[in-house]
Amino acid sequence: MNKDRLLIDRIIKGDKNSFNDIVESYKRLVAHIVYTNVKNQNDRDDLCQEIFLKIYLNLSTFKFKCKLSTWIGKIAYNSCINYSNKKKLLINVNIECIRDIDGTTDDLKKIKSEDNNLDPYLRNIEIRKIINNKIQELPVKYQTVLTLFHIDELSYKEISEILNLHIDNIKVILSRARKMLKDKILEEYRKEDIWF
Amino acid sequence: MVLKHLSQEDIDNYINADYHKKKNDEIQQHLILCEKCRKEIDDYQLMIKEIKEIKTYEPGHNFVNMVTKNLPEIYSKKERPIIEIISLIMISVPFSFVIGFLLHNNIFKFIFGGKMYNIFSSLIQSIYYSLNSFKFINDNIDVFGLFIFYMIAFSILNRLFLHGKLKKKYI
Repeated sequence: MNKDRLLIDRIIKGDKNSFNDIVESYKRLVAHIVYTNVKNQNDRDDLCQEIFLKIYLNLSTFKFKCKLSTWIGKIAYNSCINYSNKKKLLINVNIECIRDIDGTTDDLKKIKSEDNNLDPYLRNIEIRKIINNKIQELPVKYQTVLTLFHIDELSYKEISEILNLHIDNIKVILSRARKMLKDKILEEYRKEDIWF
Repeated sequence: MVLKHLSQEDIDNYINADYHKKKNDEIQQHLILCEKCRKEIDDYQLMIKEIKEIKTYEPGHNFVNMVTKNLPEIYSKKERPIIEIISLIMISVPFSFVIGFLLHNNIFKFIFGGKMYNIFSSLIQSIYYSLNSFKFINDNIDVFGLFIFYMIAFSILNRLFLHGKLKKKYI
């Protein structure tokens, strides 16, 4: 928190270069929120830049009543909502997950073929791709909560402030998201084929 | 010891480490005996482990430069620009002459009466005496003293209203 305060003080006093540190520290968080809410790759990059510009312009209004990460996350999430309202392009399904006629991806075929010679490292990469694709089949809010909790390791409180929802709602969404993800994976694959 | 199978709430709280130690121990005891619940929790934990390892989308290496090169200059490097100081002098000088004129002609005494005048003039006098040691301003001590007084007063007001906490409250 103190490090953030020092950084913000320096930026407000005119040291524009200190903003690099803020971008570097929080670009992953912003990217995750944008990634789960926005479909188009070019729009994602533009939106990430727009979000950081918004953060820079409003930095003097940040009152340290919450963590800087929460404030940044909230700006990112609200920007995504505004974007979606404008474009009406909230994604539920990731088009990158191109399916074959029989309904499986190329990656999964490799695993389903029970190729025991597949390098364990490559196998892990394929498995993570599958899980990532399955995550993107979840409703947007589920994806966001799941990503913020497990990948960005934010607390319930921080997530609730970013999404403007009650902590209990976050817990319910997280529980349902995990269950839905597990069911979706097991619908298509056997436990032994994935991670189990 | 928990005899029934674990509820979804129990599973979630156990996975998220939301339970206190006693409840956690109870669940662990149950997991030793119940294979079904153990497998269920293992499934979740393995899935979460893989989720944490997922390489998610991240902006490119050039992203930081792209963001920072387009930032506008909205935060000034100089806290007190020269124009601010000049405006302070321009406000303080006429005020000093006007108040000096009013003091010399005893107009304050006429307006406020004896008591108020005594308080006000003793305040001004104290500034005069402190400045009397500077011989070169002796001739114009009234106006110079007032000028210093107003410079300080306007500076304080300026800091409070334009840069301080009162800005949010009143402006």
